[in-house]
Amino acid sequence: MNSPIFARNNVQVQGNGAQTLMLAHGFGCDQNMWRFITPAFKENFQIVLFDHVGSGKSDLNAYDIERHGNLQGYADDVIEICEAVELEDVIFVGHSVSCMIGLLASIRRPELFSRLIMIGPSPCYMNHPPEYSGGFEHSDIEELLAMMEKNYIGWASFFAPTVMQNSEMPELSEELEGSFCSTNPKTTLRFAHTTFYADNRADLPKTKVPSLIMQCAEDIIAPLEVGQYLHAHLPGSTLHLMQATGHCPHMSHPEETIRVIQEYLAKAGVL
Amino acid sequence: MDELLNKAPCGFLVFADDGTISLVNETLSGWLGYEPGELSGYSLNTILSVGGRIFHQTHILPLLQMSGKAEEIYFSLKAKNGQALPMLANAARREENGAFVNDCVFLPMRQRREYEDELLQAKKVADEASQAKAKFLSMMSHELRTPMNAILGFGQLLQMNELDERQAESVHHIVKSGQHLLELINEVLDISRIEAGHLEISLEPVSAQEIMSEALDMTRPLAIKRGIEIKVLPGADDAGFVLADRGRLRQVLLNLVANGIKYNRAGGKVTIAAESVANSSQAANSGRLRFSVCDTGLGIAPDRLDLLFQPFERLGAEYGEIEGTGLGLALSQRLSEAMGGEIGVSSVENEGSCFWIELPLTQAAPGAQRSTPAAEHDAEYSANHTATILYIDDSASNIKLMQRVLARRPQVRFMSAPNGKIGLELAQAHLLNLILLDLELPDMHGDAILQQLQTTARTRPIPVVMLSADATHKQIKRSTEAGARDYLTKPFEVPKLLEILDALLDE
Repeated sequence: MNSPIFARNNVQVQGNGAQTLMLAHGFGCDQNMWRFITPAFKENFQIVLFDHVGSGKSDLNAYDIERHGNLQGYADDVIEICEAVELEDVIFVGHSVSCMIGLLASIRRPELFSRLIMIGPSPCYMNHPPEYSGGFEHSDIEELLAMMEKNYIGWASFFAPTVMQNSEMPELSEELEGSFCSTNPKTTLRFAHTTFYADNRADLPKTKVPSLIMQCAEDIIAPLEVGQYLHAHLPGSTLHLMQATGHCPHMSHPEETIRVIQEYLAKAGVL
Repeated sequence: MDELLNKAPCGFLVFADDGTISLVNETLSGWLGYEPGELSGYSLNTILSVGGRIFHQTHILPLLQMSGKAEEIYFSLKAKNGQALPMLANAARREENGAFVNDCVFLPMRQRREYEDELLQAKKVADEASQAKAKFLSMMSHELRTPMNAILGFGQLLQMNELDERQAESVHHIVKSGQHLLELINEVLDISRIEAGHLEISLEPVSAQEIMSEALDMTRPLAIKRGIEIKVLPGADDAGFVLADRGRLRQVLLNLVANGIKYNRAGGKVTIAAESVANSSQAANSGRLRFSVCDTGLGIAPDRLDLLFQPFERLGAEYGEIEGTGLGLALSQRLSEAMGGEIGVSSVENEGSCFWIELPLTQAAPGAQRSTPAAEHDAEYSANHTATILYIDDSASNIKLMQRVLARRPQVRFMSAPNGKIGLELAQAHLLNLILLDLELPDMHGDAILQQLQTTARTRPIPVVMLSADATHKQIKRSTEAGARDYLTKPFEVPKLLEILDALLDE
C-alpha cells in the first residue's frame, strides 16, 4: 500500500475473493456513488474503488492538464492502479465516461482485464450528422459548462471542499455525506470538457475484452440509439436494456443493477 | 395553505425520482408561461434546457439521492416560449407514500445574475493576466540568466589568467557588476513570483542551530573583510527545529546577517541568537522560535522603521558606498510570511538594530541528520584519469565557455552537440564519462533526452548533469527524479562545476 498511486487516486480495497471487481465512477461524482452496489459483491469479490484525479479525495496536485486533457490519461491512471494493487483478470465496472476510460485501458493492456461492464456508456456525446447521433450539440455542452462554472463561484453545497479525511475508516467516510461529490472547480470543468468532447467511436473495434452494455430507459445522457450503436461496434458485447430510468441506475435502482451484473457474470461463468 | 403556497413570492415544484412533476405553484407556472396546474404530470425535462438536463442528471439528482438536499444551486429553467430563466434553487428530498419526492424552491436571478456574470468575467480576465505574467516571468528568468552565464563565466575565467593591474581591475568590475545584476534579477524574480502566487515553498523541520551556522559560515568571509566580529550567542545548540523551507530560511538569515555586517560601524559586532517565544496572540500555536540578528550600527529612526521593508527603499544608503539592491528586506519579509512566519525590527539610534524572524517550532524529522555545507574544495585533479565529456547545448557562447572551463582539466576530452538528436548519436557512438545537458534545446526538451539516455544499456550508466537557466524547484526536482546526477543553474559558478566534475570523474 506504499505506492503513491494509492493516495493519488484515493484507492480503497475491500471485500474477499480471488477475482477483482474494479468500480470506476463517472463525471460529477466520486467513489461514494457505488455504496449501494458494493455490499452485494463483497462476499465473492475483491472490490477496488478509486476517485479519478480531480474528483473526490484524489490528490489534486496530481492533476496534469496534458495527461488529463484526454480520456487516455485517465485510462493510464487505471492501468497504474491495476499495477499498484497487482491486479489481473479485472472485471471493470464503469459508469458513464468511465466506460470509455475502461475501454481505452483494455485496449492498451488487454491482459489486465477479463470483462468490461458499462453502465450508461457513450462513445461520443456530440452529434455527427448524418451518420451518428450522440444526443448533444456544441451549444448544449457550452450551456452545461456555463451552468457548472456559475455554481463554482463558491456557495453550492456539492462543490464544498472535503470536510475531513477518513481514509483509515472508509465506513465513516461513507457516512460523510457532506463530502459526496466534492470536486475541484477547475479540474471538474476540464473533466466536463474532456468527457463531452471525447470521440472514441474509432476505438470500439480495438478491444479484445468482452463487455456488457447496461442501457437505461429514458437516459438523456446516453440515449437508446447510442447503446445500440455501441452494441453494433463493440466486438463481444452484450446489450441489456434496463427498466431503470435516468443516468445513474446504480443509485436510483441498485437492486436491478446488481441483478443484471450478477446474471451477466453467472452466464460468463465468473459467479 | 394552498393559497399561500400558490401565491408565495417564490417558485415551488415537487418531482419524483423518475422526473415526473407532481406539483407546481402558480407563481412558478406564471413565470414559465404555463396555466396553473398545466405542468402536473409532465416530465421535469419539459422545463429544462439540454444543458440543464445533463446538469440535473450528473449533479443535482445524485446529490439529492446521496445527501438528501441540494442548496444554492444556480440553475436555468426553460419557459414555454423557450426563453431561459436563470434561477437560484434549493431542493430537499422526503418520503411520500413509500416513494421519494423532491421539493424545490426557486428564486429568479435577473440583475444579480448579470452582476455575477460581470464578476465572473472580471475574474477570468484577472486569472488570464496572472497566467500571462507568470509565463512572462519564467521566460524572462531564462532570457536574462542565460547571457549572464556567459558574462560571469568568461569573466571568472579571465580572472584565472595572468593579468596586469588595470586588466585585473577591469575584469573585477565586470564580474562584480555581473554578480550584482544577477542578484538583482534573482530578487526581482523572487518578489514577482511571490506576488503572482507562484513561489514554491516546501516546509520541513530545519535545525535552528544548523541553519545559523550555515549562515555564519557563508557570511564569515565578508565579516573578516569588513573587520566585523560575528558570533552566535550561546544557547543556540538546543534551539530545536523550526518548520521552514530550508533554502528560503537560509536566504533570509543570510540577508539579515549580511546587512548587519554591511551597515555596521568600524570594528562593530553582529550577534545571532535563537530563542523560543511564547505566542500570546495564537494560543493554539504557542511554540515559536525567534532568530535575531543584532548589529552595532547607526540604528534607524523609529518613524522610518516601516519603510525598511519596502522594495528599493534603502533609507538613503543608495547614496553611500555600501552595495545593495534595495530588495533584500522586502524579499525577506515576503519569504518569512510565505513560510508562515513573521519578520520585524527594533532599533535604537546610534546603538544598533535587531532584526528578527519568528517561525513555528516543530519536531525533528525522523532520521534527520546534519548536512554540512559544501566545503571549499579545490582538489587537484588526479592526472591518471582520461575522460570524455559531452556537452549538449545550442548556445555557441555557452559551448565556448565550457570548452574554456574544461581546458583547465587537460585530461578531459571535450565534445559538444548543438541539439538533442546529435547529442544522443554521440552518446551512443562514444564511451562517455559524463554528459552535461541543457534543458531548452531546439529539437527536444532536456528531460526527454535524459529519458532516452536511460532507456539503453550503453548510455544508462553515464552520469548526466543538467545545466539550465530554469532555476525553479519543480524543474530541478523533475530532472533529478528522472535520473540526473546533479543540477546546476546558469549562470553556474565555475569552481562549483569543476568540483562536481572532479567528484564524478573520480568515481
